[in-house]
Amino acid sequence: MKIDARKKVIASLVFSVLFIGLIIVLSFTIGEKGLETDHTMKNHSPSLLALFGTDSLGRDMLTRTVKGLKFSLYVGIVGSTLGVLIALFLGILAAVGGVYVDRVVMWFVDMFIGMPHLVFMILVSFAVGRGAMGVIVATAVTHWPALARVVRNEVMAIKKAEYILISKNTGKSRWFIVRKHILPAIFPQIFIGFVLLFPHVILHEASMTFLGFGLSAQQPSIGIILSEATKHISLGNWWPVVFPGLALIILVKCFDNIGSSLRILNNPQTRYL
Amino acid sequence: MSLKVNNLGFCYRPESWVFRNVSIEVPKGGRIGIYGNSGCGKTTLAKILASFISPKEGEVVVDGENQKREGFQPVQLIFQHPEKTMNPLWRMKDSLCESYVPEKSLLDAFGIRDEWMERYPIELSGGELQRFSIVRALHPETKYIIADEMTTMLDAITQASIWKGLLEIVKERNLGLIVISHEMAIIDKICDSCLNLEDYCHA
Ligand SMILES: Nc1ncnc2c1ncn2[C@@H]1O[C@H](COP(=O)(O)OP(=O)(O)OP(=O)(O)O)[C@@H](O)[C@H]1O
Ligand SMILES: [Mg+2]
Repeated sequence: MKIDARKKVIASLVFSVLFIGLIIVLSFTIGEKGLETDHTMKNHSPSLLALFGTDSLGRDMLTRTVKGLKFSLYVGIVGSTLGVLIALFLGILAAVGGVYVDRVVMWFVDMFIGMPHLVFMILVSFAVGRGAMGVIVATAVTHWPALARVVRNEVMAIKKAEYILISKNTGKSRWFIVRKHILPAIFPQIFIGFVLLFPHVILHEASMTFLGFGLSAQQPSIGIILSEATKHISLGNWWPVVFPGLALIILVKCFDNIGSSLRILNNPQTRYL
Repeated sequence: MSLKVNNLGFCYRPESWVFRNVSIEVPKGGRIGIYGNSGCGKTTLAKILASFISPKEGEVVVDGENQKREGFQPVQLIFQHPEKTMNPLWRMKDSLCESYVPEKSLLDAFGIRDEWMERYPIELSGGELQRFSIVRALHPETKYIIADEMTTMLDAITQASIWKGLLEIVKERNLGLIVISHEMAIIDKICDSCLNLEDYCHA
């Protein structure tokens, strides 16, 4: 990688981290006031008073968007973490558990990969019960398979390393080897996988809330905002769709940027060039 | 009390034998040399003896018991390439003390310096790493040591000092020793008997 390319990667990384940081800071500092209905402020287009305009109930769109993104981030963190844990467990199990365990786990992974996410998530969210819990569980249990396969392949590659075989032959348990040798070695992959899960989880969260699964209409979430706003778009109120939609896309793109940048910086073939 | 190998055979691909019908017995405290051309299977044999891979034919008997798969292996192998035997993410002191904490005198016998302890494997030379891998193999429960081209990469003076250190401890603890080398000089000097692995090759 040329120095310029490296700078570009780092710049996009820094920008993305700053943007996400800004949303997090805003989501904790903006008050709840903008979420209240205010009949004197109905359908204002964007102005200095309300940067993103207001909706048909007079709620401030900037506040709603930020609070919606906060919920997205929350679901993203919980969903991605759970997804990564499932992927880690199954990936390592497949790699160190022997041929038959490997076959069963991989068959399972293939089955999940072949399943359409949205349909499956709707089923899960029905099964778990509606509400935020349903959204979180649904996104967590649908996003692990690809990462599980990555983990399994990584562990397969390093478990034959001489230092690991030596560790085993000096009487160390499998659990010790997984914890001390394998997990630290695959940590970069896991972390990148975790960051790259975010965009999927967040977009799926938005689709689910858009379709009306999960949350009550009072709870701020991008999906709900967008589905409400589409009803008013024929009146020419473009702002309740455009701003939250854009914000969501930028947020997702930021996570994607971070993940890809880290992957490029971590790749031995591009790291030092 | 001995490390005994009966009619050992191994192949990486079916029916393409690296060697077959190898039988060796190393008594406790005995020293045997194994030599042969590059690629004749010396490292493979060493890995079978130290339980890194399973034989396709025959058996390995350690002190009267069939070789076990789990737990500490009384036959410890010192590898040809020490770089690959250390976790690159660990400091040397962690690799060294992974299975037991060696005494200061043992470290001194191999000239291991304190300042190396905090470093990572890539920050040491091959010879320095090899000393660590030797000390690590000299676990208190080790009964047999296999040295696979242990000093091939080193200069004559370092070779001599490492061998001196190892032989002293082997003698003191009455360990069995298998020396694998293509330098007959080393084998002649150290071992009671020797074996040419090429005699068992089927390639
Ligand atoms: N993992 C493997 N898979 C398939 N073939 C292998 C593998 N390891 C070694 N071989 C083959 O087995 C034969 C014996 O290899 P081995 O490493 O035991 O030789 P060696 O006698 O130690 O050689 P050297 O003196 O060069 O160290 C070689 O022909 C080699 O190509
Ligand atoms: Mg060899």
